Amino acid sequence: MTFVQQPSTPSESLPSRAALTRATVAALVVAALLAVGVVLPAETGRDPLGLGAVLGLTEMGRIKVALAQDTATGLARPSLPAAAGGKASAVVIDTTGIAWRDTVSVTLQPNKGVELKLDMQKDDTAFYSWSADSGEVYFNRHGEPPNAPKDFAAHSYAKGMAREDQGEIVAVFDGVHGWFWRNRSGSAVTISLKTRGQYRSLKRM
Amino acid sequence: MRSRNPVARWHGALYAAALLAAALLALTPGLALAHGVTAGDKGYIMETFGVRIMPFMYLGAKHMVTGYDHLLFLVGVIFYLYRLRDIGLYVTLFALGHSMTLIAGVLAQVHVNAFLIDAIIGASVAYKAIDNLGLLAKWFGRQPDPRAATMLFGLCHGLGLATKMLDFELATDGLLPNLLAFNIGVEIGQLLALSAILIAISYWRRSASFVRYATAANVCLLLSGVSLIVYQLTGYFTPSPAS
Repeated sequence: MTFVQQPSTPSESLPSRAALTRATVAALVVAALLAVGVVLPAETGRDPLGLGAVLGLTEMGRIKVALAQDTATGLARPSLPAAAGGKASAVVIDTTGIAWRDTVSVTLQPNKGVELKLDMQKDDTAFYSWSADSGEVYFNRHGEPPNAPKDFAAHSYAKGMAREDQGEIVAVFDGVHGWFWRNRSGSAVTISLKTRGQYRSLKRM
Repeated sequence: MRSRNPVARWHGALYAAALLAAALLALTPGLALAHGVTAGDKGYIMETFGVRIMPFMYLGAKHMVTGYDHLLFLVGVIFYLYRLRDIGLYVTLFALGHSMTLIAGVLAQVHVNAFLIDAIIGASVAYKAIDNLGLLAKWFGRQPDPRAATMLFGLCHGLGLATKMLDFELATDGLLPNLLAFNIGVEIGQLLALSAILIAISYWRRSASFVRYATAANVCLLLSGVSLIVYQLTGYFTPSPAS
C-alpha cells in the first residue's frame, strides 16, 4: 500500500510528549470553561460564571427553556370575553372615545407567553391597541392560514420589544392574524388588548 | 512501513469497520436530528429580532462542533498532516471555500436540497479517505491537487451551512451582521474541534499502531462517508410525511 501524503514522520518534528500533555491540559481547561461559561448559559439560561450575561447568551438560554416549557405546559390561557365565541360583541367605549368590540387582559408570569388572534379574511382591516402595565414585553404580530402545517413559517408583520402598540392589521391571507407576547422580565406583567374592525372573532391559540 | 502479513492487516481494518458500521446503525435514529438545527435553536431565532452577534456566533460554533460530517472531513484532511504550516494552509482553504458559499448562498437564497448537499458532504469524506489510502494516485496515475480539492469541498460544505441557515428563516432585519457572526462562529467551532482532533491524532501518531492502523482508520473514514451518502440519499428519495 502506498501513501501519497504520508510523510516519513521524522520523529523530531512531532510534538514531544510533554508538549502534548501541555496541549491536552490546556484543551481540557478551555473545554471546561466553555462548557460552564458559554454552553450552560446558552442552553439552559443558568450562568454560574456570569460570562453568559456578558456575552448576551443567557437570554438565549432562557428563551429556549421558556420554549421547552411552552411545549410541555402550553401557553397562558386567558379567559376571553363572551363575545370571543363569535357571537355579537358588546361594544366598549374607552376613555379616548373609541368604540372597541373586544377587550381582553392577560397576566403573564415571567417567561410565560400568550397568543391571541383575530379570525380574518384576506384584505380585512382590524384596528388594535395593546399595552403592558409594567415594562416592555416581546411581541410578534403575525398571521397564519387555516390548518397551516406545524412547521409553517408564519407571516410576521412586526416583532420586537415594546410597552404598547396601536395600529391596524390588513390580513395578507385568509386565516388568523394577531399577537404572540412573552414576558421576558422577572415579574408578572398584565397585557391589555382592545380590537375592532373586520374580523369574525378574537381567538386564544 | 512495517511489512506485516497483509491478511492480518485487513482483518484489523475489517474489524474496525464492522465496529464503526454497528455504531452508525445504532445512531441512525439520532442522525435525523443532526440535520436541521434543534427546535430550541430555531425557536430562539424565530423569537428574536435585530442584530444578535454573540448568539449567532455561538450557533455557528455549535453547528460546527456538533456537525459530525464536517468533523469527519477535517479528520481526513489532517490525517497525514503534522506540520502546523500545512494544517494552517488546508484549514484556511477550507474556511475560505465554505465562507464564500455560506454568505453568498444565504444572501442569494440558494435553496439546495439539504439531503443532496449532505450527501455531497458525505462524498467529500469518502473522497478524502480514498485520497489518504493512495487510491486516487493508483486509479488516475496522479493525485489531484489536494489543495484544490479541499477548496472545492469547502465550497460544498458552505452550501450545506447556507441551507441550514436558510432553514432558520432569518429575519431580513440584521441579516448580514448575524450571518457574518454565524460564519465567524463556524470558524471558531472549527478551530476548537480541530484542536481536539489534532491532539488525539498527535498522541496516536507517536505510537507504532498509527502506521499499523492508518489504513484501517481511513477505511473506516471511507465507510463513514459512504454511510452518510447512503443515509442522505435515502432521505432524499423517501417522500417526507408532510408533503
